[in-house]
Order: sequence, then structure tokens, then C-alpha cells
Amino acid sequence: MKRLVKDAVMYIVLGLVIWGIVAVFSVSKSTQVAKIAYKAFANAFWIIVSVFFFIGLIQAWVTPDQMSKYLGKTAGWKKFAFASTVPILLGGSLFTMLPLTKSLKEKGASNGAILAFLTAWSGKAPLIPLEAQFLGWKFTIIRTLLIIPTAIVIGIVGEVILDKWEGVPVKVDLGKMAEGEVLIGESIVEELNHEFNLRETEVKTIVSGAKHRVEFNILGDILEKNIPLKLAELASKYDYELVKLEVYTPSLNFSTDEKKFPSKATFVLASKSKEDVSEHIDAIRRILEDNDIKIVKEREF
Amino acid sequence: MGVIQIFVTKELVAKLLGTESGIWGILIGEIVGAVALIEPAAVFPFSGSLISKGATYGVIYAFTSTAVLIGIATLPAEITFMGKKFTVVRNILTFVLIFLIALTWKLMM
Repeated sequence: MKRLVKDAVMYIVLGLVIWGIVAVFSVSKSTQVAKIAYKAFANAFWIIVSVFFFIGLIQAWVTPDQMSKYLGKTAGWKKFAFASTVPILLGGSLFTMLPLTKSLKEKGASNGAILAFLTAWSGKAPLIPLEAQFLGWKFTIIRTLLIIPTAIVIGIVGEVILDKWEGVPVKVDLGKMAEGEVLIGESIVEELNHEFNLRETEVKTIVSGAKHRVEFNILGDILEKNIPLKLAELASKYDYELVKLEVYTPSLNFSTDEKKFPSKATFVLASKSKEDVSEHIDAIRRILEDNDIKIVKEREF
Repeated sequence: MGVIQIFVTKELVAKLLGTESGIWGILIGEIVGAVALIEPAAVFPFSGSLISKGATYGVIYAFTSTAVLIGIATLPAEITFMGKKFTVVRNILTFVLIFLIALTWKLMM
């Protein structure tokens, strides 16, 4: 936010300097410039207000989980079905769309979905009557229909390129990490490695040998808050096994990035006895709640 | 905003787009659309006047699409909001794809 304000001030100052230079050379042109700038601002004002209203609604109602279900990486064709059609109905200018797409991204929408979203937005349904009036219905209809495949192609190709460039969501598989594969920030890997130093076969024997198994899916600042370690401490205290921990972080360089994304993790609680299970689960729930981690799914098997 | 609107005059754009119609016309249409900052609502009336001056529909498609989707003036804002890599990928991809579509359009007409 601070950076945003700083940037905004910079652009305003830059604009005023250019305007000042124009004014020095030609007074009539500078008043013209001021008039146009004022008009543009007045037009943009209400659009900006409504867009921020929408952002507010998204922030308040849409959970990251819902968002990743419909617009996330794993949503498949669903994300394009939405992102290549619905934005056609929106108006406004690119300046007003960017804060909206930013909040979509923060909530877990994938790059492909956002690329498709922005491209499809150029359909501009509110302006279709105007377009038809000046360019004819044939042109308008072809252009609007072309938007959908264009948005999908840009979404798919763009996502592939950005995945290569920005890094894909990382799957920290502890079975693999134990064999010396470093996937994310070294210090975190070391910690995880230390506490859950289990190979695939060991995991299988523990899970199949346990009397009771519960799988948890959790969401939140898992690595930042050191949840794997806390869970491990808990496990040794209550004497049960915690295995198959997999952490998915949305961005490769998350630890150096100033932006925060929630990470996802899955782990299995394997108890040797059936009686203490509820006590174990309660302890896990408590520690997750204390750290603002959400339990997405809890499954016994 | 106002500054660009005054100095990239409509006459200049019309002169550039009205005469060329081949591959260069499409490229020029795209570049002009990207550089000139025109209100989305003003793009269509302006394009209509270009058609009457002899611009082809392929060129107009290229021009209107980039005018809405790519903007030199929106680049800094896009970088601030979405990141440098996203911005570069989106703008280049959009530019290339619109070029291909406009070219097909031109060949089919």
C-alpha cells in the first residue's frame, strides 16, 4: 500500500512536470490538456468507485478456497469458462481493472485465469451498441465472439510461459526431500528434513500399522508460522506419528517475496492406540487455531 | 493522459491507418492503438471515421483491440499491480495474437 501511494504521487508529479513544460511553450494547449485530464478523471471516478465496491465484496465474501476452486491452477477448463466470458459484461478502463485483478490474484486466482479475464474484459458489452453504430453489427459480432477464444489462448499460453518464468507452485514432498532434493528456501527445507526424515516405504509401514488415521488439509501461513515444527513437537509429546506431510506453496520465491500467499498442506495423523485419538485431534486443532491456520478438510480412513 | 491525447492527434493516426492496409497497416494499427491513449468509449466513433477514410476492417480490428488492451500509459500501473513478468508476458502475447487474428481476418476478406 505504501509503495502504491508512493508510485501514485510520482506519476502525479511527473504529469504536472510535463504539463508545466507544455504550459511554458503554449498556454492554449496547456488549458486544453487540463480540460481533458479533468474530464478523464471525472469519467473514471464513478467507475473506480464501483470497482472498489466490487473488490470489497470479493474480499469479504470469497474465500481463497472458493477462488482456487473456480479460478485457481487446478480448476482446469472451469476457470476459462468463467474468465473468458463474464468479464465481457464489465466496463471501465484498464486502470480500474488492475486493482480488481490484483485482489483476484491475492485470493488465489491463477495467472492464466487473470490473463483470460483481462483479455475478455476488452469485449466491453456496455459499449456494444456504440460499436455497432459506428462499425456495423457484423464487425461487432465477429469481434466480440473472437474475444472468447483469444482470451482462452492467451490464458493457456501465458500461464505456461509465466509458470516457467515465475516458478510453479511447489510440492514439498518429504519422502523426496529426504533423498536430498532441495525445492524451497534452504533453511525451511532443513528444518522439515530434520523433523520428518521419512522415506516413502517408512511412511507406508507407519500408516498401515497405525490403529487410527486422520488426514488433515490445512491452509494458511504454514511455513511462515513454522507449523510443521510445532506439529512435530506435538506429535512427540502425545506419542503419535505425523507422516506424509506435503506443503504446497503458491510461489517458488515466496520467502523473499513481500506479497503473502496462503500455503496448503496435507498431513496424516497416525495413532498407535484408538482411545487417545480425540485428545490428539483436539491438540492439533488448538495449535492450528492459535496460528490462524484453517482446516479445510478432515478425513478419517 | 491529456498530454498524449493532444499530441498524438487524430489526424496523424488517421493518416497512418487510412492509407496502409497490408501487414504494415496491421502492425501500424497495433502500435498506434497501443501508444495512443484513447478512452474506450471514444475508440469506436474514431474507428468508424477511419473506415470511411479507407482503412480496412483487419486494421481496425488490430487498432481497436490494442487501444483497449495495451497502453503505454497503463504499463507502469500494470507493473505496480501485477508484477513485471506478468505485464511483459500479457502485453507481448496480446500483441502477437491480435496481429495473427487481424492477419487472418484480412486474408479471409
